[in-house]
Amino acid sequence: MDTTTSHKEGVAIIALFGRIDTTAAPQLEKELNTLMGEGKRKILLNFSEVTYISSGGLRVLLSTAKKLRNPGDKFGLCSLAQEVNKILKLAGFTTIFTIFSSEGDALDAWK
Amino acid sequence: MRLTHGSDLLENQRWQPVPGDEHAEIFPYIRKVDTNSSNSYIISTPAQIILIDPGGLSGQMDLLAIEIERIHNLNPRPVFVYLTHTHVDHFVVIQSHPFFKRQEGAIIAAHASGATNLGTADTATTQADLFQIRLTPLHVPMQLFAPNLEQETDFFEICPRIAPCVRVQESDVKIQDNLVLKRQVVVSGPQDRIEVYHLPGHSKDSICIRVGGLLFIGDLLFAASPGIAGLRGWSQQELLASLHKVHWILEHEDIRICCPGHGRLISSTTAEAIFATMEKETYFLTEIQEINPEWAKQTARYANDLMNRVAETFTIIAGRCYRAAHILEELEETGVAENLSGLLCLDAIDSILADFHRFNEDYRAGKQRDVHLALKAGQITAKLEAVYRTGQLDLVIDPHLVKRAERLLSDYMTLFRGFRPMIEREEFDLDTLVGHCIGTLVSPPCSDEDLISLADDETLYRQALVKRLVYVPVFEEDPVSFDPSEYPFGVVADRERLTDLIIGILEELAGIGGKKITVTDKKETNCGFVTIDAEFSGEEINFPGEGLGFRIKECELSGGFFSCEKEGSGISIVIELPAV
Repeated sequence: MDTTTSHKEGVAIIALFGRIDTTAAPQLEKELNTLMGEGKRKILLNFSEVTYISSGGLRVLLSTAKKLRNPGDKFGLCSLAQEVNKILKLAGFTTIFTIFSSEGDALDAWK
Repeated sequence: MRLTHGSDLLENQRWQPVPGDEHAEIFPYIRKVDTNSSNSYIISTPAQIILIDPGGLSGQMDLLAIEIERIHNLNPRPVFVYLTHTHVDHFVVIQSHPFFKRQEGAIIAAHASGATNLGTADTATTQADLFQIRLTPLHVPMQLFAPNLEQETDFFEICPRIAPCVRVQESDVKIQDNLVLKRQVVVSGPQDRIEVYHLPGHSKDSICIRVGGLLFIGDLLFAASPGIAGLRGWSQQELLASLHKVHWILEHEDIRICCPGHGRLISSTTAEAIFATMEKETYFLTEIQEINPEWAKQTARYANDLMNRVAETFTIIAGRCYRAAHILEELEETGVAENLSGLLCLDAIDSILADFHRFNEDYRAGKQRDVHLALKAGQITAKLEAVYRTGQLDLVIDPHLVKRAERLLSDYMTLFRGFRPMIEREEFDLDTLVGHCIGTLVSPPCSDEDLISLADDETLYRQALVKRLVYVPVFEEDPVSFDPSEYPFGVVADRERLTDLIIGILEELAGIGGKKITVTDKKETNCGFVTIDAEFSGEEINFPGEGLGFRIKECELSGGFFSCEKEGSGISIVIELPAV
């Protein structure tokens, strides 16, 4: 899995590429923790290039959601491919996270 | 590097005495088990150097060649290459490695039928076609158990022109009235005596070789294993007979160590126990499919689809547990949350699936063959079966998901063993079954009333709460509707598989954003039809996508036929079943 991080309108956006599996999940967790450690409290994960998420990946998402629940914190996902969205929906995660259809939608909603 | 936990076995890649033969030394080359190459063994005796199974890899042969040339330079002697059987992973390096071009004196010895396989470059019997390896004809000068020599009773020269020192005697052993062990004694000098036994079953040309207290058993140990039983030349009856014969050898020939074609060495006691178990397993291996390139292609395709489905199912199960644990933590039920998260060995399952994915990427890149993928999926399935314990999980997760994971693994192992997965056909009312499928999806396993009634019992309340939290109301936003047939009717199918198929399709449609999902059933002449329609907005419909072949197979195993049509922004799935 590769990632690129950008910052727009006070939101840290991590674009993810590839599979979030057992080897990628700890890397993602580390990057998220680093951002939170730097004081970033609005984080958006762009899933447009993610083809697969494993249980390890789901665990990292939940763990991040838990850390970002103070007033003013934001954590969301956007641009999910149909297959990944299916997993999140059937696992019941779509009711825990805010899921946006695009980066633009997320930034508009968090203004 | 010691190979086993015992102290009486041999060390890898080190010269050491052959137990039971004070004049011989052995240099074992033991590999981790795979399909690329076998173990190899070099034996040094006063009159000859024997290489048993040179294998399939040039790197392995490089090391063996250094050892052979070193001991040959110290004491020049004829070099013999014995093949326990002519499967490519045991010999193919011979046709390309410079050692065999330099060392003109290396005399190849194999069973006569194996010699024919090599002489005619028979790609089917040698498994070269399965592994997509090209063969060139290879001459075998020393043909063991040649049919024209069966009447010989005295020692005779087996290849007089190139190895006049080697004399062979037929020495068959009558074990029972109708069971004869074919044995040849091969003598190359006053202190050089080995015995060769014909033990077919794994292949027609399988032989075992005894040097002192060592028995080189080729692939006999694996002959009943999934993905191996059924190879071209495999025979259940011959294998059963050979297992009786090897039992006699172990009992009468003072064998101390068995040296297999793959994996670590085993004591003769362990070998006895394994062969006894194998015998029981082999009795059940009737009418298994032949393992050939077509089998490998079909099985690899199925393995690929299956692993995607297994990964998806485990991720959904895991996700539901994590989600419920997350909510329980919010409710300060940390202990219950921890128990829930610990129900599955999720890290282990994730690692196993990631291992398959890496292998599959190599396969897609053309670095692995169909048969490799089929075998890898067999290994992965066995590992998953070992870590997936459903006992506790059954109590909290939707039973259909738990059973689905279990059945997916079991179906692959059945197919991989060369059998067809079991279809348990029975007659039942289709309306009732479809109604049950929808009920399973839309009704929480524990209702509000149940929770209220259990509120006074802390333990029962917690259990019910966990069940309720693990349940995911997939159809909450867009309910699924069912329009049953006017008159109830029966169908004949596998009830459990059909239930899972319908539930799986409904969940998948909801998961990929299907709206207005409706299910209808009807009877026309001798057929019953379940039709599932869904509407989609905006996005391209990706159903069943790459999983089409898998859905078709699932439906076949349910006893029906699957079809799927896209119409505008909608999709219509039909399951056709024999009606009564």
